[in-house]
Amino acid sequence: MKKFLTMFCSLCLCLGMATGCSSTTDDTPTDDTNETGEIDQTTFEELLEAGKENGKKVTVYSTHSVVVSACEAFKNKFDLDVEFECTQIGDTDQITQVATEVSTGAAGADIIFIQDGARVLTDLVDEGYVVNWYNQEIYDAVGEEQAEPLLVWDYCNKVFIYNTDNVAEDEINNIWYVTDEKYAGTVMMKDPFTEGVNMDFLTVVTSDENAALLEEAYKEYYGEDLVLDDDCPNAGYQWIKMLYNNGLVVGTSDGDMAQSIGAEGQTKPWSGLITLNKYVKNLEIGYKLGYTSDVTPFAGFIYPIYGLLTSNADNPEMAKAFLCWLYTEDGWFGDGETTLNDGSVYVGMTGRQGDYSANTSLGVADGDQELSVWKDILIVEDPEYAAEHRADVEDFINLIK
Amino acid sequence: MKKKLNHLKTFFSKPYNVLLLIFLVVLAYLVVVPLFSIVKDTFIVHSAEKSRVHQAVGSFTLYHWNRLFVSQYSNSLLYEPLMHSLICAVFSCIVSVLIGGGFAWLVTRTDMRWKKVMTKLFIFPYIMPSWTLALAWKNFFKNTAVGGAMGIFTAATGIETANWFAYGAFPIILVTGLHYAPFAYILIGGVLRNMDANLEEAAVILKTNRLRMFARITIPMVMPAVMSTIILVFSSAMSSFAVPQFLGLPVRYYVLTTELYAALQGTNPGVGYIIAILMIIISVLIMIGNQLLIGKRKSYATVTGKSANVSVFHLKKARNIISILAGVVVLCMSVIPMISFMLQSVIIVKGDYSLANMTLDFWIGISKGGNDIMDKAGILINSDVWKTLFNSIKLSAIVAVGAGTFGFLAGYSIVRRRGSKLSRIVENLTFIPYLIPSMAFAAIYLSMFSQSHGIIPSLYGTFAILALIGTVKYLPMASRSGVNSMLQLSPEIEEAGIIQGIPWIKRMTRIIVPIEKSTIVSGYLLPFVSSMRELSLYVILVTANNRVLTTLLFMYDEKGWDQYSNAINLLIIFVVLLVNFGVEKLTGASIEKGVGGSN
Repeated sequence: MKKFLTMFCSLCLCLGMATGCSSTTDDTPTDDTNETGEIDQTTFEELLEAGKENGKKVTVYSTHSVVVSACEAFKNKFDLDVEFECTQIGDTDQITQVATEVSTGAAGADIIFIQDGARVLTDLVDEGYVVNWYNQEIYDAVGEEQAEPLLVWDYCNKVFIYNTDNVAEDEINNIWYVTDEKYAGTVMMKDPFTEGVNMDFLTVVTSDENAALLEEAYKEYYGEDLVLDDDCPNAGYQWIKMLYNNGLVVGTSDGDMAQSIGAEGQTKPWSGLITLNKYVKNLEIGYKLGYTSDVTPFAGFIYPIYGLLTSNADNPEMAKAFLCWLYTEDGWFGDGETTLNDGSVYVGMTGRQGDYSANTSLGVADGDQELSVWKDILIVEDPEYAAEHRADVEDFINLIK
Repeated sequence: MKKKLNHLKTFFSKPYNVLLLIFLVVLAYLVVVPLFSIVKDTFIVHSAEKSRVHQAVGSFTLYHWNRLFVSQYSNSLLYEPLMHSLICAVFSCIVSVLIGGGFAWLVTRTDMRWKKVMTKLFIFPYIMPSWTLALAWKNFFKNTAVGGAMGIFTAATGIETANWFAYGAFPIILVTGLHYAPFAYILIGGVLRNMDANLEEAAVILKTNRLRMFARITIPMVMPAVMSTIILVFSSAMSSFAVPQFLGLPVRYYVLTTELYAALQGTNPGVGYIIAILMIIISVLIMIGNQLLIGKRKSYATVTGKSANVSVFHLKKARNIISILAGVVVLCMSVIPMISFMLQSVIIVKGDYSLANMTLDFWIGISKGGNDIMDKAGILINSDVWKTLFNSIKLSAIVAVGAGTFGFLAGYSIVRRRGSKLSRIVENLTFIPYLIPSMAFAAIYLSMFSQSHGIIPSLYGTFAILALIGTVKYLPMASRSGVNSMLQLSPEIEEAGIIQGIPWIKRMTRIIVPIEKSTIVSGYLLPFVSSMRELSLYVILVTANNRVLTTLLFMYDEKGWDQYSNAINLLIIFVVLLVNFGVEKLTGASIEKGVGGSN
């Protein structure tokens, strides 16, 4: 609280002044603003100054590659003396690593960018290893829905893509197609056991609300009422079971799967649930790919990459400043002049389809649709629901796979 | 009292006593304590398991044991992978013995052509990383049925390989069997080469036919070597991780090691720790079997006399055909995999092997700023790859110096105090790491060194933990060769020095070390090479900041960045071969001599 007050006073003093005003800093990480129900009023400039004064190295882990270059750009743009160490680490590894680092007090991350909300909540947030922090600036940019329970930085979506030589444009229009004999052994998806967001998606599919939608869609597709198997509590489980039993192909890489779906000269009606980003990339280099956003009752799923502070950050102020900056136009798209360490200009998410800032005012890449549109037609990851039910779904799949 | 004190004083005045005591304490801490630590881990709730066990983290539970052994999931979590592991291990043994043994027979007992070149190439798979052939298999035979572009074979012939052929048990067995065939060749070949020709000559005089001679003389003679091969291959195959991960996962064919990896990565590590314990038990059982057999083999030793000229079997008309066939098999094991790596590392669109689709970008292309496959700098100019390469070499060098030095010192002190209880305990302690499969060993260290213990901080995520586990894991290799060579060295030589009043350090550096030079160098070389190509020991302990080449390769392969993973594979093979041949040229020590000392 002391820090908050100091911050607040200095904020008043510095109002309107362009010069940086440093406030006293202490090393103890503070994050009591959310708990007390008030939103942190510290500004980006104050955090930046405090971070400079702190001076310690900032360590960043991210599942998303752009954050790694954003680190370099941030340091170069503000000409910081503070060292940044940014590494791309997958979500599973990050969870083990961060949990171990914080619980043992080992040196490690200050801030993490991570997907798989269910495990982040149970393994990291519940245990107090990471905290959900945002200030008024971020809150204003993203709104309540994307600030709680976990702060979203970026959304990624996975949609049904298909081989355009063998699948007609409007052929895939109902999600039950994956259970159709006609497509047996030709539907791909990343292994939910190796990439958690897919498991979270399958978990959310089994919610009552989604199960009801699926039941309706079944009737639409097959023309008869869905009869549940004994081991399937609802239509969500039934869909998962039929999906696996119809020869679902699980892969370890979206890019790889996109390429095998879209390879030329095939005869099978390949399709799969693949990130839009990888779809675009492979379409550009000549693969025969199409995607559909018109599927009943949902055309895939969308999952967030969250930006969270560790509870033992060495330089929490600078980490927070970096987080704030990522929600700005400069942080997301680059300012067109800041360079990376190898001399190239930082372009951030420019032209990148399939990535959507939680700050929706930034807009999306050309040719892509707005975040709100996607959220309407896709299943949105619900970390709380997924955290609660994921073990059930994992065990269910363990039995049927 | 005084007598006792004097006794103690004499005890501590002998450097090897001090060494033995140090080894006792350190090894107890690094080898025995972890075993208890992992048992504890099978009874507690880990943070990833909260939502399934519904208990507080760290509290006592029987959930893992129940789930693994008697729940409805036992089949898919334990019994099936265990069955798969056993099947793969048993059949790999058969493949190894047939191919390695057959090749040994051809080389030692027939007039097959090109023996010299072929024997050199036949050893290749043993020097290369264990997944080399698996990766090559995938390059050639992968199909599109499990996601991914077609392989070289399909591209060339248009024939789509069947799933059972491309993935799962069949290729795992074949590839593992071929990888360990050099074991069989070296062990069985040794017997065949030194076999007493009199036995066969006697049979010839008695007009025994060829078949009967083979069945009644040759086979019984090589049986002990075959059994040693089987035990070596069986335990190596049981603990092999990379091959089933590369070839089994696409069709969800799990073995114990891959199930262990999945459990530790997923939401139920407790189950993983039990699997690790199971693997250790299996490995101990194998070793007991081995001990029983070695007892048997001793009785054979009197039968094998020193050989005279062994009669050569003339292949006659079949000579050319058999030579060519053997040549093809040898090429498939050595040169052709390399070609596939080279090919795979230069194509842009996977599955298209036309010249227009080739580029050297993955080797020397400059970075395009992004972080997708085509955007990365080629591996030869990529600072990340160089950093990782350097890290690999640094790690392997430290591990080699550690394991080699401590192993030799352990061998020295064990032999000097041979017959004492202390010596026996230390000898057994140095051997335990050999019994623990790499992946299980890593799981143990993960569980134990994630927490701080007294003055030792948490080592998770540090370079130190990699160096530590590598040193301990490879200690048996060096200590065993140390023991063997010290046994051959008469203690009088050192005693002469003691009488002259030469201090211990000088005795070691001036007398023992120069005499044992070749053993010591082998003791360094073997851990170095093993560590350079080690994946399963490091893969769950490595964090982003201290990646090594093998884990980088593994990561790229998972991402589907085949071009990079193939290029890095070549880089690893290049370094290993360079070091191996360099040391061989300089000192005469060679890795083949160490067969049997590693898995």
